[in-house]
Amino acid sequence: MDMSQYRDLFISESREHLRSLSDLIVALEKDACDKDTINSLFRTAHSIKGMAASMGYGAIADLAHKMEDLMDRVRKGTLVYDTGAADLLLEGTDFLEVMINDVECEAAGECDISGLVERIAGYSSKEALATVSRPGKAEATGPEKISLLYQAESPHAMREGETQQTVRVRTSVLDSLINTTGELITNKHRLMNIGREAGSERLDGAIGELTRLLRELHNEVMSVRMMPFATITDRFPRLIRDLAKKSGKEVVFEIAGSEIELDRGIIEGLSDPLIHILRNAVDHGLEPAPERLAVGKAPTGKIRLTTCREKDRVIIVIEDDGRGMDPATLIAHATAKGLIKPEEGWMMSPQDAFMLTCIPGFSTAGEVTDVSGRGVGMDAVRSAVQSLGGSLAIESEVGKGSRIILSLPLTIAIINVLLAAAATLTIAVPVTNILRTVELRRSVISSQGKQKVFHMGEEAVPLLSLNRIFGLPLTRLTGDVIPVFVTEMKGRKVGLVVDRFLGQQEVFIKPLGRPLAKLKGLAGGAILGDGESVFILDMANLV
Amino acid sequence: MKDGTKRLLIFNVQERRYALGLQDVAEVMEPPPTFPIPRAPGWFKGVMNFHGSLVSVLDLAKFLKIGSAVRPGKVLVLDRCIASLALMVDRVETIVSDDNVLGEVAGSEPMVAKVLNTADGEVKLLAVEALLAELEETMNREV
Repeated sequence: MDMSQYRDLFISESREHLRSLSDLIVALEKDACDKDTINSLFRTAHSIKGMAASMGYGAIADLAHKMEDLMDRVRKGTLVYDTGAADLLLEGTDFLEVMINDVECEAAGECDISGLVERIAGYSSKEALATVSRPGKAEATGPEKISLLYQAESPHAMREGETQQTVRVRTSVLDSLINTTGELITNKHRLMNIGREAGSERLDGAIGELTRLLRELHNEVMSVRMMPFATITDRFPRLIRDLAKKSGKEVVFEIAGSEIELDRGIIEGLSDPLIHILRNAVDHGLEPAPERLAVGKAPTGKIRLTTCREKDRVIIVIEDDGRGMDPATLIAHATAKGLIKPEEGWMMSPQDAFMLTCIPGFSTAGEVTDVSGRGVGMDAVRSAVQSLGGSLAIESEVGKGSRIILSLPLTIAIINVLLAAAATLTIAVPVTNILRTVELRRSVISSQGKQKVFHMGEEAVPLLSLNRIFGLPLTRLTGDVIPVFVTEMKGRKVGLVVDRFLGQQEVFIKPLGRPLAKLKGLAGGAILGDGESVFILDMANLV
Repeated sequence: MKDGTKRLLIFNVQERRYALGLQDVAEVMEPPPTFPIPRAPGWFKGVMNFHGSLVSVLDLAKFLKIGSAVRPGKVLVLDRCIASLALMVDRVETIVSDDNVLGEVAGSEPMVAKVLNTADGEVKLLAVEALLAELEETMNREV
């Protein structure tokens, strides 16, 4: 029988099982006696074994079988589940992942699992009995102890009796659905333009109805593209466990709000930035246990990842109770590296000082210290978050810890933009990147050296000309007011002067493809209702 | 024409003869309206709306530093699997089967893969990948 048609299904289902496997292995370390988790672990390994055996993937079935046997021993009480058992099972999960990737790539299996299979089969731990049999004392024991608390409900668990009324759909179909919806929206704007010229009430009525239906379609399409945040956070307990073990630190990791849903485009783009932030928190934010004890803190550091919905945005907060950051030290470091002028440092607020960690060049590999460490890769993180239409803020207190706050839109493919004219160009700025728009009277513009600025409250905001950035002829603005939109570039507020505002519109972002995708400062393009092509600014990389 | 035979699209730029594999060209069209591309090098004419996709239009003569496209000219839209790029050329000469190629030598110019010898004279076969790589390389350079 030709099983190849079932291969894709096997791969996607196995990966789902692998995700819950890692999650369960780490969760069981917190409470080694939790019967539900033990049973779930056993069942998950059993499912992988069964699926692989029926597809003829012998090595995968063998390894899953041995993992299932180990969990069976735990279930029967003949083996104590300890860090050693967790390590072996996680190693097994890694191997299974590699082997499933091989199945996907149709690569000849080169994984030698014989050693691991033997170690799993022969595993017994007497030393661990003392630690795990006293779970109440476990958290306060030696430096190797890593306690992880994972509060999110498993998204993969299905309630008993619940009928499965879902079908699997290829992600390419979901992308195609949003593309078609985007094209329909573009065409709606085209019809609106025609309607304005025709002055027909009947046409206007039909366009009104089309607009309502399109909004409904857009919402429905967006809802099927939504994926739970757990899709990426599932692997974080494992990540933190590995990082903590490597750095010899004690870490409690908590996750809340993993059930919140976001567009798959955003979920995919968030994974790397979050891993970076979490890695920085473990490596540079949290102090080693002796240092924590010396300042009167609990030896176990705490990292918390919280997600919540606020209107049409998702707020993700990563906080730790580590050493925190000192604004003055950050300013001194940035000044010493020539990233800011001394006088800029004097006027800097603590919030702006924390954002210095996101300036390219603040941290460079090879000279990571407690000061610069929090900035490792943060320029890339902020750039990735901004590309998704989001923003990043940092709060910190010396000795208390740090909070990194990401604010993201729920969706990215169809966005609202502000259209503005700069010489011969029409450009589009995602409204999520705009702090405010202002029409400045000339009298409120002053000079600081060669730099023109205006004041937003106490803060002097530098003014830059978008025409100049794009190398376009400067337009002589003859009116009383100068149109400016305030945005954040490289962690600082900037006022960008344009020739005029053209209005706000919903647009469907189109990728630029080769070779234009290499052009810095552009996040994509869009086609307006009148057929005009415009470019969407990527504020993170504009200058 | 026998199976497996490739066809070549032969076109002119500043009186020179160039060719592309016909399979690399999605469409040959009259020059469409284009919109300016911010900060792009001067050899980009702009961006066009090609059946709902954004495609950049390159003045090939300008890029090859042999002048500038002669109007009205033609636009050769490359297959979307290769790039979102269209080449503005002076005119399309003909389509020939590669049976008509009598001989070939390696190209000595950077963007030329081969120089083909046909009954009607020499034709330079464009090296599409090299052209794209050079466009990407020079994209953010002041020109």
